[in-house]
Amino acid sequence: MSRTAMHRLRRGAQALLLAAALLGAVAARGQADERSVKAAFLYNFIQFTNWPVPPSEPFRLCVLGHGALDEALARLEGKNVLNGLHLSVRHVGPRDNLAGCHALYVDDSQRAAAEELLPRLAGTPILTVTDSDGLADRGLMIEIRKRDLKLVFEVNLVAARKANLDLSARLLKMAHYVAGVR
Amino acid sequence: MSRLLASLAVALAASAGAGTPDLTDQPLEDLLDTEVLSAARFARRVTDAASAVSVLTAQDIRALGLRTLAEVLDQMRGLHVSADLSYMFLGARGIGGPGSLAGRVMLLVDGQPVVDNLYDQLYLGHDSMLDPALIERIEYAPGSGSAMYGHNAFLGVINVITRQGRDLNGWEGAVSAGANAERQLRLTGGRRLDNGAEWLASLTLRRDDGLPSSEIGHQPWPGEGRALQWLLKGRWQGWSAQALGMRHSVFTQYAATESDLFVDGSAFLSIGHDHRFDSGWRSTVRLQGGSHRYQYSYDSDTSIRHKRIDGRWWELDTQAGYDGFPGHALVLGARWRQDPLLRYLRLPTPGRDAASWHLRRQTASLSAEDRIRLTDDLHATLGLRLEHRNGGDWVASPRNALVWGVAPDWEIKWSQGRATRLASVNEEDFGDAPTPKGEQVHSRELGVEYRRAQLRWLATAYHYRISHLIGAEPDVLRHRGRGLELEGEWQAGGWRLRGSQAWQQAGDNLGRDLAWSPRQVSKLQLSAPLGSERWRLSTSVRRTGANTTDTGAPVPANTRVDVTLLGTRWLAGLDLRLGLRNLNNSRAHGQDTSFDDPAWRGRRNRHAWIELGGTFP
Repeated sequence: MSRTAMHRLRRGAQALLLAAALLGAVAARGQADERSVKAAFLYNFIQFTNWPVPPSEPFRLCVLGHGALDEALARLEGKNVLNGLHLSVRHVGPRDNLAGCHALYVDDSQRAAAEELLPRLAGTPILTVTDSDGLADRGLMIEIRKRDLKLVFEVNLVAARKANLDLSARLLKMAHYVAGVR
Repeated sequence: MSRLLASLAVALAASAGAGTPDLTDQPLEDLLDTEVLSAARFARRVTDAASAVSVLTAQDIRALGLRTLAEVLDQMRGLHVSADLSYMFLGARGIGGPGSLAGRVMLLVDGQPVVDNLYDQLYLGHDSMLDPALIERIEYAPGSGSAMYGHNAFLGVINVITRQGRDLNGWEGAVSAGANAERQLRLTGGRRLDNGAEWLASLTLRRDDGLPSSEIGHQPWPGEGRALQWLLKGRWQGWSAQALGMRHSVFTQYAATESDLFVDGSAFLSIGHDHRFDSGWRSTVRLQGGSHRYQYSYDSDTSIRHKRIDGRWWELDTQAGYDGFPGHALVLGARWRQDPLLRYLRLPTPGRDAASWHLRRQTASLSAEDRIRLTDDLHATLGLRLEHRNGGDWVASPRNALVWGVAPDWEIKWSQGRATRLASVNEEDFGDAPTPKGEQVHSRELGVEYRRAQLRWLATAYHYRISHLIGAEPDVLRHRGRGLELEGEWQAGGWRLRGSQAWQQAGDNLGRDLAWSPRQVSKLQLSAPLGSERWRLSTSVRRTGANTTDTGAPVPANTRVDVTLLGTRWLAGLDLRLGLRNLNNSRAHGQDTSFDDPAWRGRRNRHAWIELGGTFP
């Protein structure tokens, strides 16, 4: 490529980057951060769930491994859930004892660890929530998906019933898809 | 350059300021109605964990405006795409260029091999069987994958996962127009039903000037290309079925009394069943089949030629997996394949009798792989495939690999193996030149990967040696290749930046570099939201180093800059995509030898296209 062409190319690239950078800065304020919305979804899911034995203080939200939502989930620490319980966040590994977990969040980045954990979760009264595609088919109870510009969620009612968790009719009504509704 | 870095700094500052505000006081109904700015999310791979895998997702393909498989692959680390005036060709690790019909990289769509059985060719341009708009995720795993996938997975495996009915839940349509007389229409429908069953159907129709991709410029002669791509898939409980195919015809009028017409058409079918047993076993049974037809007619005042080439095949592929032994994940496989029709037919023309060549093939293979957990952080994989084709010997493709999680977020990967590539029917001259022994590649690779929150990078170094070359000159006994590849990705505040660099050298035992083998292949992609996720501007820069044609003619290094503007639901619920290609209008020299007229050499091919799309319930 000639020197002039390189110069032009560089100037064009700079202009594009600057324009995008300035508009990108606006973007940060225009829409909600996906991680915060997912954490808020999770907080709401807990409020819409009844456990066979009501959880005792503190409400334990377990998080498999570490992932993109760590910071947003950490902000849930100490929040009030289920009329008076305080939420406590704990990170767990795939072979850790899950006794004491009332809810479990599985980040997409933890898919390999989730595969190891899945057989142990079936029928356990832990509300399981994920943002990893297809994990609701594999037995987790709620899967958050991105659809166009917004987030939606799907419910695997069979898995929830098997664990004797009661998900409110209002939650199911808002779900994008409910498996095992009949 | 300093201004470039300053721009990036502004972007970083903007994304860092995005923060993660508390939204828990908002009711779920409101949250469902909130538009979100994408968070960092690195695509998860499904292909063999011991490889240094590159992944592109539907999101990348849409934002970067990639409209053929070749364009998608040309954004991936170390791959470079070349073309003649009829087909696109994939170069991997320094091997592959125009004329090398038999691919050395396996292409799978939802686990189904989509390579024809006549040329073992990958169709990557507008003649491809798959419209990239249907891709959910595409992965490229370099290195010999024969142990797991069979004899065509010689230098790498490309795994395409297509979208599902649930991703649409309705209909999606797109129309586009652009340079080179291109007009394209796509209609895709899909749904997930209350009983869990899912279906997806898609049809893409296209008309253009007849070249396999607009990337290589316009057709210098009057002509017309017509392409059709289709896909049908369904799933219910453990059952799955998929059919996809294409038909591509190109008519070219070279002179008033000279023209030709070629037609490629293929179809691939697959019906399968997956089951998990309570005992810890899981099984997969698939019945697959396909057909390919190539027709060619040449008509001039001095000569008329017609030929037709047909291939059909079917195979039964079974796998059983067992995780019941502590620390082991075992997969056993058996495959039986029949190629009942492999025929070259020369049709009678004035002064020339009809002639035909045909043969049949049977191939059987057995495979075993065990993934062993040595410690919590150290896994080993041992794999072996035995394959036999009638008229040849059993060939073994072993592979071993180690993956060591040396520290949190860090992985070191080692793999070593041997793979075999059996000759295509075309390379065997439809039976006239039997080649019972296949090419063999011995490869070794060492890589390191880092992945944390918003940043990911990998480095991998490899070496391979290919012996028993098919169709090589008598004194060329071996090919050798070595290389170093780097790849990095950063995501924040809706920004996505990905880059890769490959240094490679592939040569023969006579000390010559291989044809169409660039020493360097570089890629850079940047995608940024404009004001919000509703508008996104993406740019990609691809640089392919200097190389030579198979006649030794020099092909200078080429840098291409593409820009794509994406507007989501911008007007009356419609999506807009605007693609500006080869913005810097660099010259393409790859097809120079195809032209007698010097004016057609080193062609500049800046061009643009526009697409309007929408979704319907």
